[in-house]
Amino acid sequence: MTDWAHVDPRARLLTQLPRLADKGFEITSQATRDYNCVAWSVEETTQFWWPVDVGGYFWPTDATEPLLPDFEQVYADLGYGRCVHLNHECGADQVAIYLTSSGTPTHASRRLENGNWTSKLGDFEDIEHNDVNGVCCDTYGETVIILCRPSQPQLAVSSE
Amino acid sequence: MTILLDRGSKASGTTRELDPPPDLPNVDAAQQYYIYGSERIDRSAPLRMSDAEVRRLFHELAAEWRTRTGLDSNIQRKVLDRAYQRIIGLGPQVVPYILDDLARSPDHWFWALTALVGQDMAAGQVSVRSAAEAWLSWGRDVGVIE
Repeated sequence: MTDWAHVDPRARLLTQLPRLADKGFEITSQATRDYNCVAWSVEETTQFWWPVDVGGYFWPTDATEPLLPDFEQVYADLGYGRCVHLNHECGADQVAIYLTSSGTPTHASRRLENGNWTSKLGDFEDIEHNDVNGVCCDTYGETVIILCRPSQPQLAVSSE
Repeated sequence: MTILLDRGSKASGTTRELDPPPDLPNVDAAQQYYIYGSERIDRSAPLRMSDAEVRRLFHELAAEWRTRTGLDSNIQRKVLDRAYQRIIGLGPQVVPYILDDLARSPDHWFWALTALVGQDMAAGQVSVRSAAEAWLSWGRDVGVIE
């Protein structure tokens, strides 16, 4: 078994997520366990968002296992709903939830203003990928659900 | 025939032969090894391993676990991985090595520690770093680590 600690990150990701080779991607952060894909999808970088009944993790509801209705509720509380069009709709925030064949949520990514997607890959790096399906794999599954909401205005930074 | 201690006669310090419970496997006395996955475990080896052996196994299994589940955010899948389960199976002897690892770099050891210690010392913590600190603080308090 390959020990990933001694493998170049890009080579590791191409092995783990072979579709990235065709779809294109770039690594945009160092590896960290401080946050995960779901946290990153809502631009949170200090907590690892996952429903589990042990200290160390954050989840906005009382759920203790990953179920799609609960994931959708978490995003609904942030203003997201099912999006029927995959095309980048100007002025809409989009997130993608990835599911196994049995419907268990495994991963989330967020669409960037340039139309690309950004994913935090488990305990590894953030990447920017050109195609939402670029990270589909055995671990994350092949099913993707797109959620969207009206674009949120950036908070004004006080100059005082 | 197996010689078992008769709990009823413990006070008198005597033993007598008992029939094994019917649900026990029929182990051939001539067999030298238990088979565990692809490993053969010497039946004559003591059940308690040396600290050095536990440490070696922990690091070996942790590397295997990280390789197999590093891409996962799914904590349930991470902790159900066979290498992670074997680390829990090493028993309380492995706790100092887990805490040493946690001190070097926060990682998803909270489930294992809770299982091994029997209590979640990081209950209510909502970040990996604060949970790691809670466990390390506990370890220092009880003298498991310095």
